Amino acid sequence: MLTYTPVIGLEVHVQLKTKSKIFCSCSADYSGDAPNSHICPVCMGLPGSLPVFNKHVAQQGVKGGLALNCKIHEIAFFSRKAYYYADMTKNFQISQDDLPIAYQGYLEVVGEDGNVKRVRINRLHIEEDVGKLTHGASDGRLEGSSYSNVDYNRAGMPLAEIVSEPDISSAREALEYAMTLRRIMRYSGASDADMEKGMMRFDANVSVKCSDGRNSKRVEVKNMNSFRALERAIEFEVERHIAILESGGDGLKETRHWNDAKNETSPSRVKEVYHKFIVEPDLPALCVPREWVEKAQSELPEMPKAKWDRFQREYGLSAIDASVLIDSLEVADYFEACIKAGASASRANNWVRTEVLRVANEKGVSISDFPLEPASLAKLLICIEDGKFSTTLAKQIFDKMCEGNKTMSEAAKMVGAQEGGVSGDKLEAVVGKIVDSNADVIEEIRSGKDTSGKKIKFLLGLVMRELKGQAKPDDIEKIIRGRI
Amino acid sequence: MELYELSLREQADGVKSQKFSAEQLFDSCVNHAISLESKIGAFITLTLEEGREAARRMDKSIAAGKPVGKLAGVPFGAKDNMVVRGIQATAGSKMLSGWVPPYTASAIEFLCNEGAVLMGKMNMDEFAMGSSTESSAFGCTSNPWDTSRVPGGSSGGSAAGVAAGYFPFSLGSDTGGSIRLPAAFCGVQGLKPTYGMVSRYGLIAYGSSLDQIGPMTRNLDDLALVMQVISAHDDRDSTSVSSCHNIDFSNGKAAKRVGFVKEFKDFKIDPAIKAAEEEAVKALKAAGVEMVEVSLPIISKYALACYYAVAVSEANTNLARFDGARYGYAVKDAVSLTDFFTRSRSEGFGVEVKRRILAGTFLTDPYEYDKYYTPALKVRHLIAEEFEKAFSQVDCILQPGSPTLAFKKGEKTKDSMLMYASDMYTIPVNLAGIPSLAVNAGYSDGLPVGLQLVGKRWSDADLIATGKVLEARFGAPKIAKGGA
Repeated sequence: MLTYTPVIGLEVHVQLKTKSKIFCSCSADYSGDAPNSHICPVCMGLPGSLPVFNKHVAQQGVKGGLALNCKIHEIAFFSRKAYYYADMTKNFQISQDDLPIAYQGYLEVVGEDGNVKRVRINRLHIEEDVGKLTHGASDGRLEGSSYSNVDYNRAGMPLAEIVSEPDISSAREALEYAMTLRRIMRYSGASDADMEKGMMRFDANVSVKCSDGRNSKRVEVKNMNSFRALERAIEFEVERHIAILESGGDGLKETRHWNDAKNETSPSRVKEVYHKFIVEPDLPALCVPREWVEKAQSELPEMPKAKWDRFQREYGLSAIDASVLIDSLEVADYFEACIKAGASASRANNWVRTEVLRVANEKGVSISDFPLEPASLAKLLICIEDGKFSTTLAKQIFDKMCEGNKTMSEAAKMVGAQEGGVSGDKLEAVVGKIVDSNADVIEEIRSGKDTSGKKIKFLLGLVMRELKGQAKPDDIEKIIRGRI
Repeated sequence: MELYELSLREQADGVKSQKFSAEQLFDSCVNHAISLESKIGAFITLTLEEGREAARRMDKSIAAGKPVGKLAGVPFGAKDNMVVRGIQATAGSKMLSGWVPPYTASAIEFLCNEGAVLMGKMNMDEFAMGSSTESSAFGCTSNPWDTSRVPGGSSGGSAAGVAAGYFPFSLGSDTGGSIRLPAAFCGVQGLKPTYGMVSRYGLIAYGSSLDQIGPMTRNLDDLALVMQVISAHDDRDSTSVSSCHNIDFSNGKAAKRVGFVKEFKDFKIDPAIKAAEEEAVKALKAAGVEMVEVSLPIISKYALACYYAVAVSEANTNLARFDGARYGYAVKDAVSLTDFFTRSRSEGFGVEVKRRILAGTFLTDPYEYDKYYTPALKVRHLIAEEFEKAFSQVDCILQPGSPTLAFKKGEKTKDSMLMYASDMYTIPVNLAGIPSLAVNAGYSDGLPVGLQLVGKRWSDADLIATGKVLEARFGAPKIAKGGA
C-alpha cells in the first residue's frame, strides 16, 4: 500500500515594528493616509536617490531571530533582488541573499504523531516592502481587470522574511507553525504581526513524497490571506499532488494562486520570475556587534512555550486553559497581575478566559486598553472568595464596572447589592425563615432521604435568592444543618 | 579682460568686494556662452532666469551686509545626471522626458549654499554610458578647440563649457573616465575624487560602486576650492565617508616618487601625448622627483573586462526603474504590463544603453552569475591590491589620459571595441576607488593634450599638489575661442 507524505515549507513575511521605514525617514505609520501621500524620493526610488539604513530595523530583526532560536551573523550584507513588476519603485528590492542577518533557528509544533516536533528555520532576513496593487475587476483579482492602481505608501516598510526548511508534514502543522510564529513575533516585540493590517503574509512550497520513492514537483502557493486560507489551500494542494502521483505523473513546477471563493488553487498568470541578485553597492556591510545580540537576548520576555509550561506547573492550569492565556502576552500579563493583586489562580483563570476576553471582544479593545485594571478585577474576585458577592452578582457588577468609570462600590449599588454581604444574625434570621417555610423538606433530610444532597442545595438556593447571593454558601449550609 | 575670462577665485573675490555685481558677472558669462552655443551645443537646459534671479539675490545679500559664501556669485554648469529641484533632468536620454526632480543633489546644494549660481544642465552621453557625448539623445556637443571633433565623454558638455569660458568650473561625473577623458580632450583640469569623497545623493546612478562627482576647472587652485565645498559630509549617502579624513585640498604634499607603468610602455598612443609625457617627466625631475617603474600586470590584462562586468551589472539594476510607470517616457497604447515595460524601454533608451543593460542582464543571470559577475568582484579586489602595492613604491603614477587626442565625430562610433579601448587608461582607477587628476599638458596642432596622475585613496590633495608642478610647466589651461 503506497503512502504519501506532504513536504511543506513556509515563507512568512512579517512587518517589523519600527518608527520609520527601512531606508528613509518616512514614518512607518501611514494608516488612514491617502494613497501615495506617504512617500519620499528614497522610498519612491527616484533617480539619484540613495538608501540609508535604519538601524532599529536590524535590532528588531535580531530580536525576531533570537526568539526563533536563530544564530546571528556578525557581518551580513544587502543585495538587490531584481525583477520587474508594477508594485516595485526601482524594479529591484533591497533584500539579503548570501549573508542574512539570522540563520539556522527552529520553532516547535505538535507533529502528526502527537509528539513535539521541531520545524527548522533556514533564515530570517530583512528587506524592504513593495507597493500595494489593487485591481479594477469587481472581485479584486488581476484576471478580468482592465486597470490596476498602485499605492506606494507601503514601499520601503521594513520586513523580515522567515524561511522554514520543508519540515512541515501537513496543513494542520502548517497552520500551527504560522500561528506559533505569529505569537513568537508578537512576544518578542519585533512585530505586531496584525493579519488584518497585512503585517504578516505567507507563501507555501508544497510537494508530496510517495513511499515508492517518487516525488511530485514542488509548487509555490500564493495569495493565502488568512490562517484559514493557509490551511485550506495546503490541504487542497496536497490532495491535488496525491492525485497526480496516483495517476503516475509528477506534476509541474509552477506557482499557483489560492482562490478563496472557488476553494482551489490555479496556475498563476504571471510568468515565472527570474530573480537576479547583485551585492547592494549603495549600502555598507551590516555589522551586528556582539553586545547588541546579548542585550537583545536579555530583553526578550519569557517565550510562549516556556510560559505555557510554567502556567500549568505554577498555577495548576490545564494545557488548554494555559493555551488560551498565553496566546497573547498582554492576556498572560493581565492574568498574572490579577494573581499578584491577590486573586486565586483558578478564579483568575476562569474570569480572564471568559469574562475579560468576552468584554474585550464585544468592545473591540485590546487587553492593554481594557476598562478594568487587573488589581480592580482581583478585588472583585476576592469578594467572591470571601462570600461578599455570589459569582452571578459579581458578573453583574463586573459588567457595570466595564461600562467605564465606576468603582466597585458604585457598581455594586447599581445592581442592588450590599457590599460586605450578609452574615451573623441577619443571615440566621433569613435561614430561619426559609427553614420554617419548608418544614417538609427539613423532615426529608432529617429522615435520611436526601442521599444526593439535592434537598440541602434546594434550601441553599432559596436562601441565596432571598439574599441576592450575598452570603457564603458554606455559612448557609452550616446554619441549615444546625437547624436540622 | 572680460569678466568671464577671470578665474573662479578672481570672480568670487570680485563679487564679494563689490568690484562688480553678481548679476554683471552672470551676464558676462551667460552672454558669452549663448554666443557660442550654436557652434558648441554644451547645454541641455540653460537656466537663464533662475541663474539671473540667484545672482540678483546674491547682490541683495551683499548690499545688506550679509555673509556670503566662498563661491559668491560664481556661475557653474552641472552635468544633466545631477538633479536640481524644479529643473528638468534628462541624463542625456529620451527616457526621462518631462521629468522634473522634486529635490536637489547634495553636491549642488553645497555649492549653492556657498553662493555659486547654476547656469545650466550640461550635455552628456546617455546615462553616462560613453566616451564622446555622441550618444546623447540631444545631439553631440562640439569640442571648443575644433568643432568637428568630440569633446570626449560622458561629461562632454561640462568640459566644453569650462574650456569655452562659459563658467570657471563645472561638475561632471566619472564612472570609468567620464571626467578625465573630456578634461583631456577639452584641455581643462579635472578630478575624479576618491570613491566616497563626494556625496552621490542626487546623482542619477550608472555604476553605483564606481560613480563619483568631480569638478572641472581652468586651474588647480580653483579645483581645490570647489573640492573643499563639494566634499562636505552628507548623511544621505551611506558610501560618503569624507568626514573621516578631514582633507585640506589646498595643502597637499607633492610627490617625491612618481611611477610610470611598465605594461603601458608598449601601448600605441599618439606621438604628441608621448612627447607631453616626456616633458612632464622632465618637469617632475627638475622638481626633485624620482621616477620609478611600477608593474600592474593584472590591471593591464583584466581591468577592462572586470570594469564592464561590474558596471553593466550595476547599471542593469540602476536603470531598471525606468519603465514609464511613475515618470519618464511611456507608451500610451500598451496591451499588458510586459508590453508596457518592454516598449517604453525599447523606445525610450538609445542603442548603447540597451547594449549595456542587456549585457548586465546576461551577466547576472542566475546560471551565468558565477562565471562573470562573481569572479569580477574577486578580480576587483586583486586590482585594488595591485594598486596598493604600487603605492608603497611610489606616491603617485603618471600616465596618459587617453591613447589619442580628441577624435572626429563619427570616427569611433562604428566600432564599440575601439571606443572601449580609449577607456583603458581611466577605468582601473574607478575599480580601485582611488583618485585621479587630469592635467592639461599643452597643445598639439591646436588640440589639447592631457595627462593623468593617479594616487592612493584619500591622496586627492597630494595629487593636486603634484599636478601644480605640471601646471607650472605647461601653464594653466586657456579658454578656447570657439574652434574652427
